[in-house]
Amino acid sequence: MPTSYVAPANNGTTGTKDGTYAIGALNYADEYQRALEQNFPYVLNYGALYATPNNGKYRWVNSKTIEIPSISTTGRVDADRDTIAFAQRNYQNAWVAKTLSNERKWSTLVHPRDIDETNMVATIGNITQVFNDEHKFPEMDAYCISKIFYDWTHAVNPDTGVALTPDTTVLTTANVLDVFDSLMLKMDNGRVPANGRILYVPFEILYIIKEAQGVYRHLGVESGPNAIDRRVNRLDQVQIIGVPSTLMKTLYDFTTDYAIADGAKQINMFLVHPMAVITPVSYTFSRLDAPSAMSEGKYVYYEESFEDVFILNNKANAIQFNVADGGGTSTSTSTSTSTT
Amino acid sequence: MKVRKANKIMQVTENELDKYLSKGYVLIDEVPAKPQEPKSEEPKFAKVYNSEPKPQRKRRK
Repeated sequence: MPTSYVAPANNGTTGTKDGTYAIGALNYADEYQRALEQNFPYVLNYGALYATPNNGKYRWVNSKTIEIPSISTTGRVDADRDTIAFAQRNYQNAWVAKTLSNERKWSTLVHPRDIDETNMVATIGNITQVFNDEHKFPEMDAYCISKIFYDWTHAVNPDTGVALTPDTTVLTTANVLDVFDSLMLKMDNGRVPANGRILYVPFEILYIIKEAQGVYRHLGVESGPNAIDRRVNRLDQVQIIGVPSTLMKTLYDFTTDYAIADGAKQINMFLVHPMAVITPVSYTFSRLDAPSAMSEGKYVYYEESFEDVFILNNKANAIQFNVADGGGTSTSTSTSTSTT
Repeated sequence: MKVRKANKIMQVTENELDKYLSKGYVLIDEVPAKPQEPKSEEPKFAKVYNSEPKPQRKRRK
């Protein structure tokens, strides 16, 4: 189903063979949500996070609130051959409630004459596709990265209880693999699975990484075919995804669409395991109304959704950041271009 | 006016402010009044007297 799925403009009526019309479903939110979710991995930069398996594990309490299951158990103790121990429950099943707060809407009018006069270019389907591709999906990306950063910097290491802070090393060709290695090490120590980790970087940093890979491979060949740097091998363990630097900021203004906020910092590395986040999206309303007297003869399209992004606090170790202290990508090689 | 909740900054009007504050947003930036320049007693274009003597022109012979 295309990204620009639009509900049929039949005003909720469905034709039958005998010519009668039955009242059909009026709200197409479910179908629209399914159509979008199928496209998320292809159109969102953080599509893998929007497709996290965690999204199938929560339960809706109401239209705004979800509950995430969390099970904890005690550890083992010494066995005793001489007595029978007292049986008791040694696990705790808890539900962590998260309230969605990002409620967004969009609507448009389309005059039927515009559809004819633009040779069908201004159809509702085309309009919603452009809206989705050029505005909604980038906005969802901006919200995703900035919310994860906010949640993560306000969480604590679940093992040590120490506040989590991003790495702020200025990245160069000489040290980019060292910084990446240190982020991987933090995940290793946090018992994060090695498989499935994703490294999101701005394209400027991606070029530096590729350059560093080339340098180390060259050194490796010079010093012997088996001596290729270990850090290059570690890069092969993650999926690296380049993202426009404007969609890797720490703070955005979401008044209309999205805009980089004053004081936003550049995220240069975002290493994550998708099991550490949850990204519920719930369309509560999506409908296209046929021209009527109330709309002065125009089609009316309206959609509204509740969505949010959360990190799972007990898996906060599966998220790591390198952030530039200033606003731009902190690089110091000639191959990179600094953007803000 | 700007309000903020977590990672989300919104520019709101005075009428919308209460609605956003009730949703947990915090006011982070009020429209600042234009700072007035301090009035100084001194005239703006005060004469500057140069204490050094002017170099004398050489007369043509």
